[in-house]
Amino acid sequence: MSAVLGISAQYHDSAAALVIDGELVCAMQEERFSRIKNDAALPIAAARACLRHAGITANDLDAVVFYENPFAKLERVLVSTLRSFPASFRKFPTVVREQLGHKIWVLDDIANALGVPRTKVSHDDHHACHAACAFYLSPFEEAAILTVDGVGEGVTTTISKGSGTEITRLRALPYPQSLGLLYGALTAYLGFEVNEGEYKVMGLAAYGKPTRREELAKILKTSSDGSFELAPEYFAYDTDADVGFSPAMETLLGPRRLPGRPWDLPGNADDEAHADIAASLQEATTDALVALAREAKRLTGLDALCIAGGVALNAVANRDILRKAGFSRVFVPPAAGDAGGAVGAAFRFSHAHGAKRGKALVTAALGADIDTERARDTADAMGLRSTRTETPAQTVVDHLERGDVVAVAHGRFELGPRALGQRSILALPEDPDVRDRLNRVIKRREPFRPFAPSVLAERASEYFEGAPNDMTAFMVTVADVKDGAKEKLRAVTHVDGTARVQTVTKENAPLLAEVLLELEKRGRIPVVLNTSLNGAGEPIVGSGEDALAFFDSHPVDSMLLGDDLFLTRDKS
Amino acid sequence: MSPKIARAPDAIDVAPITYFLARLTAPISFASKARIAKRLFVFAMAEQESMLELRAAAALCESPERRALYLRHALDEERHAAMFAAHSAELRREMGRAPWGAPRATCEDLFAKLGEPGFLAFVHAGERKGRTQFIYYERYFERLGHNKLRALFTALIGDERGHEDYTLRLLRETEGQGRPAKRKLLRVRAWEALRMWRRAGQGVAGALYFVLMSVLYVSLLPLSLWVRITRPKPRGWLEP
Repeated sequence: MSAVLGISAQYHDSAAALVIDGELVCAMQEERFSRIKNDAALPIAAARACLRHAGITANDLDAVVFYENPFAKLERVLVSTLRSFPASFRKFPTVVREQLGHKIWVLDDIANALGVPRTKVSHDDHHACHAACAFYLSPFEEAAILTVDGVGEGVTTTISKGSGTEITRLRALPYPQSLGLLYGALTAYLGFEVNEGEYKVMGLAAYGKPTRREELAKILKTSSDGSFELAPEYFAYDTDADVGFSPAMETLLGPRRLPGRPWDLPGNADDEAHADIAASLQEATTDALVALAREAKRLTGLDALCIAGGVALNAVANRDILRKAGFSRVFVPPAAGDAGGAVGAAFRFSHAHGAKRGKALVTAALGADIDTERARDTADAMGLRSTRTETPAQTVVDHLERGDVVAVAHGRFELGPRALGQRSILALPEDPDVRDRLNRVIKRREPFRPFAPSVLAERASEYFEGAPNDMTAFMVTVADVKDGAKEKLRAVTHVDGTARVQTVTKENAPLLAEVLLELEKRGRIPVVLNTSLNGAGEPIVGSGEDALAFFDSHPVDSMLLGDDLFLTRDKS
Repeated sequence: MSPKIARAPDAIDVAPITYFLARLTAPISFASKARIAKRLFVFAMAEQESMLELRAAAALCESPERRALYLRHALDEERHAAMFAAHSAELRREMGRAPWGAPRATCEDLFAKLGEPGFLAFVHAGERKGRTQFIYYERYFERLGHNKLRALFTALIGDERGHEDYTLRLLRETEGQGRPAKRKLLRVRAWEALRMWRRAGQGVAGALYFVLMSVLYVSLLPLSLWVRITRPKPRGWLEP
């Protein structure tokens, strides 16, 4: 047996992943244990949970691989800080303290925390790990691979070719030419938190028109070979990491939006202007990504494409890449961002040491299961009454049919930012009032944010254009809602007529598939509204206790936890 | 039965030194709208940190009853954090400044570090300190006629009292009545004092470090010129 633990950490979404004999056994984000959203700390709780799940100890590990090279990263950070002299004056002390005091010791810290010999701990390359995560989880034997994020050690974008267990890098774009930094800077400009608000910008874009492309063209300059360049005067990534944009950005686009101010769309002229900026950014990013994908096609001549890196979570762009870049199939893993780096790191070591390629990823439910006995005891002690059900799917449907918003915590939690049926909040997709209730009362988020539908894979094409495809199982792309279906899917159709659809099978989300089949059996459409089981600013629920805490503090109507049903009206 | 966080009859009233310090520092801490907003956000972060500690405790605790109490307490802390952050944001917006957003905190895993009795003693002492401060701030803002902030502190005092009392009750149950519990409380206070001393040391060292690094930075001018010449910003595709 060969067991390799991959680790990603230090920036955002830290995670651990365990690969045994070339197969991905489990992968978990630390935030699900620490309850700190996008937690960047070393994923020790996640690593221990992986080992527990596989029934092995740290002594059984052949290797622990960190997903990037801390020394190459140190060099890039110091060089770029020096290059920005004297503007980097304020950032310098922090950079030195973080890098020398903390980050370069990561391999020793991992060895100490897990109790493995330091000789077993090694490091890899950030973008190579992204590429490995996407390619080895994909169903393709051969594919072009595109990785796009903020920055790794020294590069931000790569094009590679994957074949069997081999991945060969063909091109790379150096820091600071970065679509991730561009999107992050404008996320901050629009008043959202970087590394968290990018989805909000994507949702907001649908409310605007791309009227500011001319200004965006001054910020992002693209070339015919797919490469691009950011105009440095608009950015402040080496001088002000908090916002990442300079005053020149405000001169060009107008004043930034104050964070936390309520949105009023459509109607408020300022908000509409900011939505136009979001739309222009989204269109510029999509165009740049399509150009990169076309370059990948030109270089490899292959029919399939895998995409990873934080920017690969841009579902709108992924749809356009599949439509316009010349590939017949596109795959994006559910944890395309840094969390997936842990998966890639473990795969790369495994394959470099002779392991064969494992099976393609079927389900994102790679996390820890619910300890139902423990959850039941806790619920009893909390005074939360429940009834055990032998037919959980039917029970969920009974409540959905009453118009309930139903929380579901069942089976292993998912890897990545999407809840795909294991830690979800479900509702029927027809009534837009449900969407407003979810946004305002339960999720307490911006009113413009859409909710996603989950549909039986075999029925998806009746409701959504182009579904199912290689991305829809993991909710990493959008599809146009068919005209005839829009009326029935009002709660999950975004203002631009699209939906970030999940196609469900018994293999990828068993309970959710049963729920959809039961709905169909009762004469309804096999579609539900599916949003993640978490409140505002919280990570998605991990354990049974997390689910109970959510249920106790949020006004959902009922919750299925394991096979136990909790009703809000029974709350004491 | 639901574990209501009940008030113990023998609960201690206020921590005199904390009360004195709150009285001494309030006019400075709350001297302006900006400072009030900042102070409230610091409270929000402290409550958020406490929430994380309690969630971690609930994940580790083997007793379902105590787990339930920690979870409920964590939910209270989360609510308090949101209340403080909302008031802070409102003040910031009134000044035309961007709010600081959601409070972000880290967890020290005190349950694992101190053991359950130590953790309970720590939480009890922290809640008592918090309630004492809030009692003074409630009066302070009442005197100023700032009803919103007075009401905020009034709303929290009851919760803090409940938390203070149930942790003392659990401490006595797990550690033993009378002396053992008092000894644990004293030990935790000493540990907390040492921690504060270390933090103060870190603060001084941090300031010194900042000065030294600033001096070092200025001396890096020649190196920065050399880097600009030898390592210009790369553009376009790099080939392997």
